[in-house]
Amino acid sequence: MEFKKKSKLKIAIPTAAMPDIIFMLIFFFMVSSVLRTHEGLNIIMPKAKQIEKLESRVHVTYIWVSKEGLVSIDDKLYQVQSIRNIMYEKRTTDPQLIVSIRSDELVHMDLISKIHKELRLADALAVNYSTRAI
Amino acid sequence: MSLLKKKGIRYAEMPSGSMADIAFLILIFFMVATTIDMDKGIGIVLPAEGGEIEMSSKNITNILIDPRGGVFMDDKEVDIKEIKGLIETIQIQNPKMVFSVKSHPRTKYKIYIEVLDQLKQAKTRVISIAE
Repeated sequence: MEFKKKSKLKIAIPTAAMPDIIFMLIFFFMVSSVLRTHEGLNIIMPKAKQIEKLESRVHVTYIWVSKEGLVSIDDKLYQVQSIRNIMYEKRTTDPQLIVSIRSDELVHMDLISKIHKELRLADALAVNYSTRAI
Repeated sequence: MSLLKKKGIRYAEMPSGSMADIAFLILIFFMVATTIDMDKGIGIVLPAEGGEIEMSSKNITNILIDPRGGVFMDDKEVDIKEIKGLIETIQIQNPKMVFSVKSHPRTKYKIYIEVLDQLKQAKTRVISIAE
């Protein structure tokens, strides 16, 4: 008895729908992605002309200061006096720490000076005042 | 002859071969056009605690800011917009000059930033923040 060769099956994944899938993915990501705006306090930052970019966000910690005098770090409200401990801890884990002060333009300088003092005590000396471009 | 002869079903097709290319084009367009907003600001380095340095007073220009936003450079009131020019001339005369910014506790942060901005625009080398 002769073994009959079976006819070869042609298997192919239909690729006609591939563009549809890509489109669906594009639209899904376009619709669902919200460009992360900043969390933190509700502030209006001052404007400045001569500004520099922060190279990376990896080493940056933000201190939010609102015009009501609230101070927030990592989405938690703190007393000004506790900044030194928080920043000291951050500074020991990341020596390249840059502190970005995001403060409302109507904040009085006594609060900012207190924050400076705390940062100096924590040895976190690289500071960046966040501003808007003019 | 029958007029009601059924016509053969015709297939009309849209060329879909380039559809993927279009999708990729859109994808690349959005990738290029999206700007991830970078943080911008004025960078300074605070003096270390206890690291005060004595300096000759002729190498220091004091800039004082009062609560209503007036700026005094070496006891003369100046307009904020003028600071840049004034500092540039001072720096030509004395390149070692250190500018010390001192603000009243009731001064608005906005004015302080404007003054710092002027200093930065004048390419000041050393800015000291007096408390």
